[in-house]
Amino acid sequence: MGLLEYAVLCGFSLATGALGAVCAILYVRTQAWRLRQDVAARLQRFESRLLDVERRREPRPEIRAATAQPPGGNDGRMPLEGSWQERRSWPSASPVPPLPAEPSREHFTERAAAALEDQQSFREFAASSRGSGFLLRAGAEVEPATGPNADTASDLWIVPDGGSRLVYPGYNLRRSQSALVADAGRLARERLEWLYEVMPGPQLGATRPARVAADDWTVMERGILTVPFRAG
Amino acid sequence: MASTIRPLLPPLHDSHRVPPVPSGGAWHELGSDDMLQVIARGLNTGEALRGTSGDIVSVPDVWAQLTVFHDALIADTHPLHGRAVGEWRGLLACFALAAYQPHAKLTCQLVRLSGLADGRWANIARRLPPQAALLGGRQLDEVGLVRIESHLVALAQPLTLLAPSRSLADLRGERQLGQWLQGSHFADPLSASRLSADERTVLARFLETLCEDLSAAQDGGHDLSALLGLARSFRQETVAKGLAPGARFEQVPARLELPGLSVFRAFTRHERISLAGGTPSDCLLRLRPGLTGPLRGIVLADPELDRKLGRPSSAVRVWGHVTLRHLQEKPELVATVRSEAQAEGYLVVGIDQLFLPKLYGVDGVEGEQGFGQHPPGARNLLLPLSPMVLALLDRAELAQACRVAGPGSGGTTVDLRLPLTDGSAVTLSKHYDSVDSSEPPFALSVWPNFSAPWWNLQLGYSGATTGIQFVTAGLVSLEGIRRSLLAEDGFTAVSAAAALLSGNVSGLSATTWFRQDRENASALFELPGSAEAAVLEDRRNGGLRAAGLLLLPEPAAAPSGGAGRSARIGIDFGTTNTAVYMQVGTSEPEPVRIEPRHILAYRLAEQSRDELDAELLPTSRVDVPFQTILRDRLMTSADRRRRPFRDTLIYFAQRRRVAIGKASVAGNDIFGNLKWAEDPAARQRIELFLTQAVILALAEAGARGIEPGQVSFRFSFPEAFRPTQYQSFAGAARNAVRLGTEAVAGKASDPAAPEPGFQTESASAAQYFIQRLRVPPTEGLITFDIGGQTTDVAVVQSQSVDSERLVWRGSFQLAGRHLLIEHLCENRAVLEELASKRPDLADLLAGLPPSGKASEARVLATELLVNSPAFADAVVHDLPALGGTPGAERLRAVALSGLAGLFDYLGRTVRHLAGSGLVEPRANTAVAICLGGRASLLFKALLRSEEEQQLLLGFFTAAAGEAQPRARLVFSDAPKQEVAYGLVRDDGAVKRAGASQPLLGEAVSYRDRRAPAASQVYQLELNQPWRIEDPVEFRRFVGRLPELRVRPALPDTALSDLTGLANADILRSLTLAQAERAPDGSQPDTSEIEPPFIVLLRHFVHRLATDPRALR
Repeated sequence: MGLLEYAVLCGFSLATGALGAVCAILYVRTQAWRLRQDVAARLQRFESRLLDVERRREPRPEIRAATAQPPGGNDGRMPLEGSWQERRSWPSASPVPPLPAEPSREHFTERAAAALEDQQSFREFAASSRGSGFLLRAGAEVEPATGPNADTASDLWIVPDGGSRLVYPGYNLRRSQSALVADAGRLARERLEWLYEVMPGPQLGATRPARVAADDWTVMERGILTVPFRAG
Repeated sequence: MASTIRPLLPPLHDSHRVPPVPSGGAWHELGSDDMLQVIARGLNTGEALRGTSGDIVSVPDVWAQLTVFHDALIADTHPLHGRAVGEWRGLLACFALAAYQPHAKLTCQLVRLSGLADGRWANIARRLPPQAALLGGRQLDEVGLVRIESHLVALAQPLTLLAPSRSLADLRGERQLGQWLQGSHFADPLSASRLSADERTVLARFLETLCEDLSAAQDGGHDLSALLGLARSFRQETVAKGLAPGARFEQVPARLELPGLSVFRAFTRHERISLAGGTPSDCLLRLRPGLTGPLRGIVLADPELDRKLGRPSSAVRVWGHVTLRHLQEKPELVATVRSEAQAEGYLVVGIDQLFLPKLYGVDGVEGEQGFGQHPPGARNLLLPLSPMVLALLDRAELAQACRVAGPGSGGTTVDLRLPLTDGSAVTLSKHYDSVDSSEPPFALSVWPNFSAPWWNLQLGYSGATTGIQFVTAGLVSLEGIRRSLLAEDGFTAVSAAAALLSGNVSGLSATTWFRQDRENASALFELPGSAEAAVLEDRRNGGLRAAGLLLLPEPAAAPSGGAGRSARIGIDFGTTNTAVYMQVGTSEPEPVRIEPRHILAYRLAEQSRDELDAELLPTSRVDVPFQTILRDRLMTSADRRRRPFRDTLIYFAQRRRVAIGKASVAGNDIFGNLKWAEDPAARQRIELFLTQAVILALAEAGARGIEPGQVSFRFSFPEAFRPTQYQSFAGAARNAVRLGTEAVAGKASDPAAPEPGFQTESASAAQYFIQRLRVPPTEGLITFDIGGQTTDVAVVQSQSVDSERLVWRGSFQLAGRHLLIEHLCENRAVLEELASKRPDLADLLAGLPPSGKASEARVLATELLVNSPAFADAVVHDLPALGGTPGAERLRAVALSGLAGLFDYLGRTVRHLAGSGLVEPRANTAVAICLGGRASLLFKALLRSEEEQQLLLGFFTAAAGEAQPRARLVFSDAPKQEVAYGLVRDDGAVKRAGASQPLLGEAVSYRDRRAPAASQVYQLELNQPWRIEDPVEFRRFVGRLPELRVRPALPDTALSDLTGLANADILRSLTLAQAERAPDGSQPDTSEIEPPFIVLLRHFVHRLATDPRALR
């Protein structure tokens, strides 16, 4: 091979390599763009379905605090001793960040927890979340809540999320809170530990919803549920 | 005919513009305006001159008011005569009835004209005094200024006796000065006021005195005749009934300065009719029977009571001489009444104190599910009443007496009909414009559901989510009210009653708040009697407002027991399980099942029942046996004695899966192995556990009408207890019976009450097999009650016609925990194999902690599983089918080795007893070897075939030799209930053996001294370090195990290790026994030292259970 031929061959190889590299980069960027688009679309779908919640009601400060980091950090365990006024005072030291322009799942979770404040709040939340209520039976059996008050008479509030469902505590759990906290949270653990990591906290509420399959109750991701019991 | 007199010089009207005169007696320039026109325009010439109804005005004389009044009073033709007479009568009544006007103090200040300081006004007054007939020509000098409180109302003088003051015009609105003061003048009390009978009587007496004095002063003059006529007329119109029988006049001290004339005698004597012997009030509400004491009564101070009772207000005495009329005139008088009544032990209540300010509905409680015990119309409402109403009415009466109309667009009206002490009744009403609402407490229950005069304990529990539900502030019982009102004096009792009236019910029960914050409120209430109502509060949004009463359903009355109806209760306090049996009279003993004796005010959700299960008592029936587990609420308080229910609860583990999960967590609040724990806290838990068991058993007896005083108790104990353990247990059991009986009876126990009895578990189990399963003792029987920690053995043989002889008894610490639990803790293979066939067992198994060394938590969790019905079913039905699987074979090896070792030891014991003549050899008949206890289920499953049974029995018969060459197995049909049954069934037919005297079973030596295997434990000198030198008997035993298809791998090194462990245990027990031996050296009723063979056997079984290399 002559020098010229060698040079041409090298040039061709380089050109081919460069072209391949450009194609590869373009491909990767295209895929990345598609992925971003996909994520954005999913997020948009999620928000359009789930976050259609009126912002009239502020979440309970305790719930906001529970989802935020307590001052000084105490690994999520809130002091349960002392008067409630004292306990109520500490969240103010940790100002709750204002809601961003685009609501996120975290804020939806806050909203779901705040809705446990009273029956009317939950009714409004339930109406806007387009979810459905379920009752918990013994042995982790779950069945749909029926009747005119199915929204506030449900143990679990289920909201579809793509190919799965998110599980939030229903108002019935708030109603039966005194049973859930009895015997150092034994009943809470018995009934809910298959869905949530049950932790002592200042108030009842899911700081992270559980995720179950769309068609059955296979738990894909356990949530975190705070229950105001005193650890034995 | 007298001419009509008209007043002159009309007054100025209110809006006149006549300027004031700067000073009298001097000329003043009034300006350039036409003053006459100004004055003319200012004159009130309308009503003032019209006739008879206006005031007497503007006579330019300091005595004008008096003389005009005199003229009007005396002359019946005077246009103001009628009014003057009315005023005169009203003024007289002020004096006559001063004793009935405690709030309007009447005074009189005497003024002498001659004593007045010189001045223009005084000079005129002295110069122009009117002529008074009563003075007999003397000049008027003394005038009394009559005041009510600080208001000048009249002049006392000799012209008319009394004349109204001009300043009365300033007293418009001062109604409280006198009920017959109308506007600016007094009126005739006979027409202006409804005088009570007492007042009329007193007034009549006053007038009679006055008439007498006027008559005495009569000189024929016109004025006196007129006054006398007026007084007589007044007296005649005052229709008085006279004194009631027993009543009398009493004088009230009065110091009045009146003119010195005899006609004023009656004025200085204030009288009233005494209340001696009568009730101090006509408004006394009737208290419930049993509540009278330091609190003498409750006075209803309702301003509308006269209308409700249909009686004049003056005839309704609210307190003493204060009538309802007085209160109506001067409402603030109620404070005085309240104070005086409290000093006498009476509480004064108003309608607003009996009714709450708000009416509450209860969400989710409607229609047929509403409060059935509430009155119609209030099935979903709380009764907006003070808890004090339950001092007046019981719950049934209250439901009848309360009526609710509405709710509707016009609101809701609540009527309450209350009985008075005089037999009448009054209906009080309150209207509510709106109804607030909240949810009921999530859990609310009281226990038990029966009542009896001799049962005085009632427990209540309530739990609520504070933010959305009512909170139970307290429970009200009659006995609680009675005790809260007990006081040294009436004043204190009224203070307590006032607290109850205001809704403070904390004194009605011993209340323990487990939680009371913004999120939750849960409390236990210990009441001295049947709870009739719950007092609910609204604590939403951080507030605290009384919400009302929730009536509770009435408990059923316990059947009347009848004389001689007694019961015997046996409590077998086992390591793992506790069984309770009761024998009523001489009937067949039966298990004491703990019934759900809750009283619920409304239908509870399933989770509410879970809460009651966890925090009070099960809402479903608990069968015996139940687990010997105690939950400690771990409440810290140094200054109080711990009590069951409040501080601890028997953990019934009704929800087995949850209990297993909870028990699996080390360091939690539930405690097992109570029986053998020896630290002081554990001993106290034994007492608390037994006390609750005693209370529950007494409740079951009480529900049948058996009084606590008619119940005797027996407890079982194992011979394996060391003497100190027995003493500790017996002390705890005695305390439990005493405390439990006192708790339910509400009083100190009778010192003469029989002490609880104690019986060994072995002897009790023998009773079961003889009496219940009819095993004939003539051929002898040997019972093995295999419990959690001990196996209790009894050898019985009939040697006479009338009784069976308990030849020997003993107990060994080789039982369920060693034969089964320890193995399952470390090896779950067989559990998993069983669970693969049974989902219910699989669910329980999922809650078990991972396999591992047998820690307390792991043992407790495994025991909960093993004692579950699911496991029992699996063992009975599925275990035999698992034969051959590694897990099942291993379990079989562990269990049969242990039992075979016990059989071997007992065979040698029987041979020894035969050699001693205590047992008669039975060469041709088979002794019954009876297996009881929970673990007998396991052996029943493992030994299904006759062949397998005989192989095992061969260990006994071979060891017994000629003493008992034949044997058969008998299984219990009520595992774990044998001892409790035998405790109460014991009729004395089984004669007791002297003391437990177990054989050593294995030779031990100390230096050159040797105690052979056939010698007895008690023969060892406790102060010598005896040890197994060479386990000959044990080696022989192990050599026979392959006959059972058990092939242990026990090399010499392993046997040496086991021997070393056994020797360590023996030395430890020798040391303990020496330390605990009674000072007098007496033989205890329990074993001081375990037989060395058994100790070695236990270590061997433990090795089989836990060491995978222990089996070939």
